[in-house]
Amino acid sequence: MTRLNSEWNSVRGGKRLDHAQLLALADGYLAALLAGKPYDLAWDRRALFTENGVPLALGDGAWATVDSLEPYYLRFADAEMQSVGFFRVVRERGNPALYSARLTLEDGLIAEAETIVARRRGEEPFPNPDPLLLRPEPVFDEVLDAADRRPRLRLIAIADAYFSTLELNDGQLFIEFDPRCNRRENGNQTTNNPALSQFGAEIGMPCVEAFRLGVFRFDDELRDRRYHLVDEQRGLVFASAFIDHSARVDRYHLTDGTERRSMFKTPNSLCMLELFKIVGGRIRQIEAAFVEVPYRTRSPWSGR
Amino acid sequence: MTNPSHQIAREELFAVLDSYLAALRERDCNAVPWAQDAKISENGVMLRAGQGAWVSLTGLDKFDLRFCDTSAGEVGHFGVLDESGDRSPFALRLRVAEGLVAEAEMVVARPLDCGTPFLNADLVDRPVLLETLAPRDRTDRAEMIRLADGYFSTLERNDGTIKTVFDPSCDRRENGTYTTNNESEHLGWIGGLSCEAQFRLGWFLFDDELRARRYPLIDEERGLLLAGAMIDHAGLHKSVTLTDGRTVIPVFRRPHSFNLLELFKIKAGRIEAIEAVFHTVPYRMPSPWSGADGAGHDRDLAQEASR
Repeated sequence: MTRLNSEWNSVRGGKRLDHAQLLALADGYLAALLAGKPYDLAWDRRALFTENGVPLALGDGAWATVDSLEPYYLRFADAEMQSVGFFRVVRERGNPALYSARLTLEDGLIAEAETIVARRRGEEPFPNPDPLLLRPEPVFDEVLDAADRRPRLRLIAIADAYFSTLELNDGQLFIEFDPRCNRRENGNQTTNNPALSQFGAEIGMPCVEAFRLGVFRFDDELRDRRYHLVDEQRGLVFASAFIDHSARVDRYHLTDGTERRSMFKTPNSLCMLELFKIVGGRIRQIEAAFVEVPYRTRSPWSGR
Repeated sequence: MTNPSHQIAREELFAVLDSYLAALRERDCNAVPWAQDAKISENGVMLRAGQGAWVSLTGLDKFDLRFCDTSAGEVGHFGVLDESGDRSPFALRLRVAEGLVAEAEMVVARPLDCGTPFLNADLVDRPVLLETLAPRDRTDRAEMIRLADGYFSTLERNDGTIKTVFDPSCDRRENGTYTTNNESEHLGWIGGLSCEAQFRLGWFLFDDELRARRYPLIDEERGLLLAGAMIDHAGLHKSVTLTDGRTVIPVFRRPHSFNLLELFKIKAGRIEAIEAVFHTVPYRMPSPWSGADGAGHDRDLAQEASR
């Protein structure tokens, strides 16, 4: 479940990029994406590239359709694991989409490129219909005081415990939240946001409250969890996972006795990339990009 | 698969279908006579027995279009299922071996996520699909496959060339909605044309690849062929120039794929009717029912890198 590849990196002794170089690689990747020229980048010959959970040939998918890069841009990196991640609003044929990616290098070459392209469908509020208004949360870039930092393994354990709290959510918390914690999903703030509460009462609640109430009872399995990027200085963990909704639950009761109906009447799964900011061992901020996929779609990354 | 000595009677195949649907209605997958290592898929993903609609289903409608292939041991069904009030057309294919269900493939077009702007779960029978053909109107199996495959080839990068044979009366119903000879406003003017006329215009140029094509079931008596496939839309075209010179904006301008089961009625060597159920899946998702041609990653990166 948890992959720490610092060992092989040090053993191989190949070319390694530092934090600034990795962030620059994200810039280069986006420039190549806009140009539709994946081979402007240096790829490992066995590289695996996925878009929305499907392995694709380089040049396929959004490589062929992105025609502009919009201002919203959040990037982060981990020199030890040789990974860089980002969120960027793009346009494909004029239509906005949230593009998120994790790139992992071996000997200075891109060996893994895992991308999620959250495209708006119909009248859904996701991704945010006003992507030009999106701004990165500055908290993600803040370097933590030594007292607020946690070791790599602990940061991964906290992110993993968030997923465990969400899985079969019944009000039991395996983590602590910072009272200021907010979560943004596909560009929409889905906590403390009464303006969007027509899409779910929990969207108006603080992060911790929805979990204490067991709002997410319909989330069955948080599977194929992986953690390929950790920034101890900034308290960041970038995770990948699938959420399965079996639709076994229709009506259910919150921990306060209120009856709710599940938002998922039919089986489906979400494939996602999710960034956690963890300050002093508590989750401070969450940023996620996800797409709906057929129920229990296999992860192409598992077992790799 | 077509050895007559291994033929299974139509009644036997329909009895297996009946028992399967009865079990599904009760959400009791243990009532299905599964073969060991049975393969089960829903919307292009292999599941364990009892997952997917077996959990969420709250009812099955009466609509029942059924057909079978006695030499291949295959039986098919189009129906409508209910999940807590959401009604969805679905297609089901079962492969039966020695009285046991060895394969169960289902495609469900669910209104919230099937990915089409049209969906109708109030299905009525189409007499053309129910008609038993006189021997002179039957088409041999190889020719039926050629015609259905030719339909997919006509659709793939559609440029106006017809690679199959249509009966002038041919209508296509997709996810419960007629998408030919239907002047309904939400389909646009293209929906008002006949099946062949749409293809002659090259309207479907945006259909890049008809991938993972399979033809597992042929009902010779009724002239029905059930095909499985994936349609990929790479989003390559900002606009499309039709064969009559008009320029239109393509439906799909971003990467997208459909997983589908499609039934063709073939009478006297012509496609007379089409009934399909399809559902959005991630772009180029591999088909679990195909070999290499079903894979989403079928190009050699190293070869491309060396260009």
